[in-house]
Amino acid sequence: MDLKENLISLCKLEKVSGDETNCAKILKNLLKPYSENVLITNNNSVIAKIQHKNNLPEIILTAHLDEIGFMVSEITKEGYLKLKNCGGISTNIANFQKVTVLGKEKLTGFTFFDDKTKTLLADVGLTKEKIENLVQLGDRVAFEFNPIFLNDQKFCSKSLDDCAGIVTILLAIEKLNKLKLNCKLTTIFSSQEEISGNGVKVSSYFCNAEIAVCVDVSFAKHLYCEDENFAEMMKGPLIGISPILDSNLSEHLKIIAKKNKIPYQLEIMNGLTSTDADKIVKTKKGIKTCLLSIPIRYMHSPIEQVAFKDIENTAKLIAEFIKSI
Amino acid sequence: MNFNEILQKLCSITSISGNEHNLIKLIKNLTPPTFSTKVDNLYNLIAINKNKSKTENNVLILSAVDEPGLIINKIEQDGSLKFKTIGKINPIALIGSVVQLENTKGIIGQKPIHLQNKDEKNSTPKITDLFIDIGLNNITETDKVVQIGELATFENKFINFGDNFLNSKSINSKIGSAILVKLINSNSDLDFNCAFLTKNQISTASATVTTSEINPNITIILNSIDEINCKEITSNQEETKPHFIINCNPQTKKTLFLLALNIAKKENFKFITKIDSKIEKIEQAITKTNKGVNNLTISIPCRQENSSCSNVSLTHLEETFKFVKELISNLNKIKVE
Repeated sequence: MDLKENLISLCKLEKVSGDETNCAKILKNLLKPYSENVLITNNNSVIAKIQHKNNLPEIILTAHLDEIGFMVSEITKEGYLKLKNCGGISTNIANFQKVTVLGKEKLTGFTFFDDKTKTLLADVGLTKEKIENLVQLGDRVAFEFNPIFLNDQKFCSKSLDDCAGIVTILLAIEKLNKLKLNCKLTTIFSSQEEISGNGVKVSSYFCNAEIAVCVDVSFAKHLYCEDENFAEMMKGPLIGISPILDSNLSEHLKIIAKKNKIPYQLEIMNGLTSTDADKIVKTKKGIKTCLLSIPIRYMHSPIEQVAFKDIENTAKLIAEFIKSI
Repeated sequence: MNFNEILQKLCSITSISGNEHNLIKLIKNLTPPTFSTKVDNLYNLIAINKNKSKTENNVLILSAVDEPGLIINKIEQDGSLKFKTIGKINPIALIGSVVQLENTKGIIGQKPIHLQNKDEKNSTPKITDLFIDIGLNNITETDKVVQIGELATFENKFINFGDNFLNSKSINSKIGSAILVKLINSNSDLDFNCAFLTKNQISTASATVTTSEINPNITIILNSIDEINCKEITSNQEETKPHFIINCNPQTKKTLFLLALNIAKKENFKFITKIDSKIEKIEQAITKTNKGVNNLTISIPCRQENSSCSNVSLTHLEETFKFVKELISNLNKIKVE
């Protein structure tokens, strides 16, 4: 599996929370070579059962497939589209951006912030009458960004949160492909993480898992954002340590990382994790959950940045963890 | 050549203030033999009409060719680049953008929303709060790739979108020149001279020097105006937006302004007037040249000026072009006292 190629094509897809259908279909096809049973839930999560022909314990590997974006809330008389956020986006980041409006056909637009009405607008260069035939209220609007490589080590794109997690799991599954495992795997690529976490919660009901590994992204240091709790880029995945996560699993991940010489960092949280992990934990009878995060800069912007090395090391850690069960 | 072709050529060359020579070379090559050209010491391109006819006024049309940009002034220990802006750029327009340096690309990011406090969420950052990330890890790696003093510009592709709209980085800084290029290539018998000005983002030196050289009695300045921040445009209730703006300030010659106004009304152009007590620096500089010059500024509305996604309507350009042609034709016949 070509990591870079898959990352580019997944990142480019439009998959704003609540409108992930297209992406879900593509991920279903990507999982078919590894799974005897792939389904898409009513709310667009993708669930794949891998090596499920036995009575071994079930482990969930999950990352979310939706991205932040906007919804059209009004068409103004000048032909501008008023936008409301889907997920957390700062006004400064949302301003002066190229976007794709997902109406009856895809339209290119550019955002601007109206100081008078304090609203974010998109300009698609059409009159109100023309737009009304093409765009409905509620249609999603996604950032449009051509992914770039920065000096071969790092990759910038929109929706690396959480395409980085998805590609990591796909890499891990490829490493485990055709190996005889002592567990059965269920991959969940969940919808709606950016707005509610309902995707993973509902998906967990399709499983009988006792253990879950959640893969997401977390803050990496950069200039003016240098809190000691944040990760360093290129120094491996963050193993989450939090009261909501299972401490034995977190400890086991550390042991596996050390044994296989995989670099890792610790992410210390004193409460919830703000990821799908918080939702999986309380599904059905409760699921023991651990969290692996890929260091990311500029989260929730069109120019999110990750290091390939970190994705590769996270995939390696997941594969070794599963092999150790 | 149509405006799409002209602007594609002009936008393909970066022309940050002080580094316009490549664009000037291109425009010189686009100038027909009916004009004699000269590149002066400030790299301004002056084009003098060879086919002199009996004209009541010595008309000079001016437009700037330079665009704003960034200049690297420090490499931080972690490999990030600090910069200053050349010309006016809204710091918000920089956040979330990709920039092109000589040998590498970079991005200008910001602290994620999750980590911002209330003040940070609601305020405009300062340029000194921003930095370019080129994906390297420390000053040693970065030093091999980037020099202090190097320039950076928005990275963006020229595209058509919507109904006749063009989008490109800082397209607003090229639209006046595009109209001028089309004017000089229009094979008309209009009598006028023109100058493509450099360094306009930071100084009025070019305007002063070229006006001094040509010594007109009337200059027409072509520039852009940000539609979104222009209350005369935003408060306009009519369905079709104005294609251009005729500006008037305390220094504007009344007869010149009224001539322009009457032509625009007579020919049914969609336009508005902008009356302002503020006199732009370029007009102030030109007026003081030689024995005094009368100025008129025509502004073409555009959106998101000086950003990676500036855009302009082709219709605005076409209509402004027709109007300016009409204006010059009248200025060739009617003496402005």
